[in-house]
Amino acid sequence: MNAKQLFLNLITMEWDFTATEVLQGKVKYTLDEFLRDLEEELTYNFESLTKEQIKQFTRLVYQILYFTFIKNNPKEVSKTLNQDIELVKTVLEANQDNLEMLESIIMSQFMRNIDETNGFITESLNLELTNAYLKSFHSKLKI
Amino acid sequence: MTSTINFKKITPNMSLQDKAKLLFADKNLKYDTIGKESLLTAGEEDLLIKDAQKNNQIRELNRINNLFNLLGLLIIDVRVAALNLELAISYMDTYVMTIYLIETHRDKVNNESVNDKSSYFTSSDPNIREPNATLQAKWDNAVHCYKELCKKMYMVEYVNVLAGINLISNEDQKLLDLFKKQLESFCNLEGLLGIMKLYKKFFEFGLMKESNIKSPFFLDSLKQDIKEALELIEEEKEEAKAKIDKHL
Repeated sequence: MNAKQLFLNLITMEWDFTATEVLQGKVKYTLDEFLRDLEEELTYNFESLTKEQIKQFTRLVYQILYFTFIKNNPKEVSKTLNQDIELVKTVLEANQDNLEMLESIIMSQFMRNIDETNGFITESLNLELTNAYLKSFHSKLKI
Repeated sequence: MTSTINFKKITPNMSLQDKAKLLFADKNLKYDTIGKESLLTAGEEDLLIKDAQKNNQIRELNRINNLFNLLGLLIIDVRVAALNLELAISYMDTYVMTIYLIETHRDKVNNESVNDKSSYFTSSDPNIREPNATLQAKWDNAVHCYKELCKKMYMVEYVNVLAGINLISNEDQKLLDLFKKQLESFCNLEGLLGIMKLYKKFFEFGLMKESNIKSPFFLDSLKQDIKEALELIEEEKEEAKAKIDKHL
């Protein structure tokens, strides 16, 4: 079984809520929780890897998903992360649901800022705030 | 089946507290219904007072009566404080709305009429960025009004404690409940006050510095949980109590 087949045969995360519900703010699902669940999923699928390897792998998958959300182009993602394009494509193919969920979590942060200020936040301030939120999360991951 | 209470029979066994409860509940009902309804007849009222005289309870009744009169004045103060808070909130709402409209339609607004004050922040550089100074002042004013209302409400509670019975009429109680909701809504930063959450987040993420915030109330509200920042401190409570004690 090659790497691509291996990835496509993985057991993927299942939530009892949808990405749309997260986006709409009906369910609160944070980046921390997402990362925790992603790590659990990878631990389950890659029993032979050590804890440290799983952590690194989780971070890599998360980065591929995150930069795809930002750049929307696997080629650029592979360049940014200095990873093989095939690996990026394979990870993305196997993680479409995860990508959708991550997008919803990030967008829900944006929506929450609008909601909390009753829409009286400007788009540029909201973007700055959302970026700061992501930056603070990424600094914990050392990304 | 109807029953009538024989006041002549029960008055001698009645405690002072019960007499006071009846007398002031009667006063409140008369006040709430503009004299159309009452609990006691003139004769019953007279009977209660005469019995109090006989048992040397008049001094205590007078004390409660003083508190009752004081409460009436306090309720007026509470109403004024609630109106002031309402006004302070509306000033802030209008200002936030103005900033938002200018920020989002800057290209369409005459540049000469728009100055630096018409934005949420003075700069986009986190090192020198300062929250809008007028908005800081308006928030300060709103917090001041909020605390004033809290103090007046606290005084009302204190007067009731001193009286040992509830002196608040049903109509006034409804008003006080309404003002409590107004205070809660302020604490929860409902409506356009939600803009404070924007400043809080900017502060928490280090997108502006403490040294660039001039207003002390504004800074307190960013640093602490809003409810904690707005809560009356012991000193303020003591000050409120002292004001009441001075009148007695």
